[in-house]
Amino acid sequence: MEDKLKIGDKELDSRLFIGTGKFADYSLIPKVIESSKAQVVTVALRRVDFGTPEENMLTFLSQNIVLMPNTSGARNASEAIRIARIARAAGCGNWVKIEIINDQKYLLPNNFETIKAIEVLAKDGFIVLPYMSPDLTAAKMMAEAGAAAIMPLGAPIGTNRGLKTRELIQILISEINLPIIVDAGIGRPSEAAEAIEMGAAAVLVNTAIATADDPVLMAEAFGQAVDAGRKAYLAGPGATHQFAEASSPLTGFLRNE
Amino acid sequence: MLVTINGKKSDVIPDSNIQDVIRTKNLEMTAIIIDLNGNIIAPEHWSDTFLHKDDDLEIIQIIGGG
Amino acid sequence: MTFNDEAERFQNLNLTNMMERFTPFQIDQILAKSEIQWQEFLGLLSPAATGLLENMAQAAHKLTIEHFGRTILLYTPLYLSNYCVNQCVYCGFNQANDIPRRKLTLHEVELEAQAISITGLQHLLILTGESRQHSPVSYIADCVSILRKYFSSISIEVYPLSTEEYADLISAGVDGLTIYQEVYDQQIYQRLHPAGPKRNYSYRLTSPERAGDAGIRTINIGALLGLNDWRYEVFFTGIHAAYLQNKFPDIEVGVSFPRMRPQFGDFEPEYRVSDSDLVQSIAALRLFLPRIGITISTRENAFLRDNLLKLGVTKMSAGSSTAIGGHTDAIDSIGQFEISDRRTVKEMRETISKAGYKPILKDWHDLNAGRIDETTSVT
Repeated sequence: MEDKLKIGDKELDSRLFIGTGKFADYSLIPKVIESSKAQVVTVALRRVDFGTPEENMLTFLSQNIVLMPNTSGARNASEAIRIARIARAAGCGNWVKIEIINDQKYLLPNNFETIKAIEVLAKDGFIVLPYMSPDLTAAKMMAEAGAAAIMPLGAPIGTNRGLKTRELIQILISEINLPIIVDAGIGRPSEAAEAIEMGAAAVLVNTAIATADDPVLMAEAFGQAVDAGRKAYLAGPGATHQFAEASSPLTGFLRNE
Repeated sequence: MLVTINGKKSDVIPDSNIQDVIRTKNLEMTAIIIDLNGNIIAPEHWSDTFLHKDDDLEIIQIIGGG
Repeated sequence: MTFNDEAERFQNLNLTNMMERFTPFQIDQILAKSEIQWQEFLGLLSPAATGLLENMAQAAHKLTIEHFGRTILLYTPLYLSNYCVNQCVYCGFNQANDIPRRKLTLHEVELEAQAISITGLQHLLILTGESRQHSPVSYIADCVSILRKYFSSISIEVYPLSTEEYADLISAGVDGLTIYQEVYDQQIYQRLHPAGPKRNYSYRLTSPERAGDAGIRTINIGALLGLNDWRYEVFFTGIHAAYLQNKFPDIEVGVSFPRMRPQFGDFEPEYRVSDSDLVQSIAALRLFLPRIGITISTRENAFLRDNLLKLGVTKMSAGSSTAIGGHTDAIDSIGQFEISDRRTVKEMRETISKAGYKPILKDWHDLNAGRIDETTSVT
């Protein structure tokens, strides 16, 4: 059965997006991508630190991967817009994950600045995937501004605490006519499966894989969990019943009809 | 001549081009992106783009990120 | 885009066919879901769901309490005028009917208001027939400016208006709109409305949206059950309500389930809607739209109303009269249709309390309305 995830100009088979931060060694990344079968990976842009220049991330990524540079470090819309344009000029393609954070305590995203950045970048031809705090009104405004998908957080970034915002994400899945991708917070494959099973279009996982004892094996587990979740979603879960036989029937009076 | 490189005031030799700056910083040419005063400069123009006083030069690289 | 476009999309589907294909097993599965889409709503209205009515009722009961608590809002209708230029074949006020026509003077409106407000009711629904000559928008506005002194919420059930006219009535003190499409099937609609401006199906269909654009606070829609296959009509009412909820997230959307009642004239409803059909309609709508208000009027008898109380209903009329001047009995006139539940407001309040529910007389107060008795305490 054909079941593709369509975002912007791309049709994807994998519903697992992978972040490339926090890996002990970049050489692990190609193996992680291979074992997880992920097709979309995020990268970040940084000013070169002249003391300790890092290796070029791009050399570890094959040509057929969809790159999704993030705008991490941006504190407002105009910084995010500038970072997105630099990334595109640098050959990262036209996808961008907008991430605007001016809360250094919890690292929660700024939905208002994010909406402003989407408006500009979508008009400029970008495929815009905003990272956001799950809020229906904000998500609607992001969709209107031209977002290609909505990426609500499951829990604060990097916490591995799972789908803490489940109820809010469920509302976005029901109400927003765009792919909902759970970004941040997912700590275990079972949580990734849960998100996909409830109708999320994809999940973005970074910390949980990068900080596992065996990142390559964990990436494979995530890939399989996401597949299982998707199959369960498509299969339609069976009925669970809350009342076996009601003690006080509500429709008994109809027998008089 | 004072210019800003990655947010810090730096002294560079007058009439330097971008290529010269990269060389003095010992950077790997294929791994970086140059943004001069908000405009991206393609690698083929690094040698014919000269710096002026108070220019804002950003030297950026792509790293791992989530 | 208006609901016209949305309705057209669904009118092109063979809904009857789709409904007949549902199996009891599928209905069981739908009942296990936490969110219900229109396809599943159709399933809950299908013949296959009839056998699972008790399960549907239990689920609807639980959802209603989750969203509304154990409360029933009470309101009463006030008929201002029975002049009408339409010939709705099912209606007692049909232009062709030879009945005494009259409209309340502003003095009579005040007497009616006083009689109603003694009962404690604070939510009022005012109604007129369609006659821009006898009951123009300016007359309705004049009535409202009197009524707002006595009531915290005033809804209108009058002929379709333009956005500007709705805005005028809102600034006069109206906060709610009730307008029934009567029948969503367009062919039947044309047949039952042979003359008058009401023949314009689309203008009526898009009235709630115009009121929404004008800034109304609540909208109540419905289909007159008995004019067509109830499954089809309730389905369209549901998607219409869903459309309005989606388009106006800040408006309270509600649905009424008016079943045909005997009225002056000789119209016989072609389609039977049993009590069990009504229960299925209410439960299906509650499961499809958990936050929707559901109204049952005094068209239904006391026994049925008491039993429907727990199935998803949130609003009931009480102490109703469908005759002009019916609250003061000052004038003898023929009503729009027959009332079944003739209990007084006091009796209704007691009945609701006995069932373990709280009768609500007021859930809304407009601070800008400047009601005489409360302005001082507000400022």
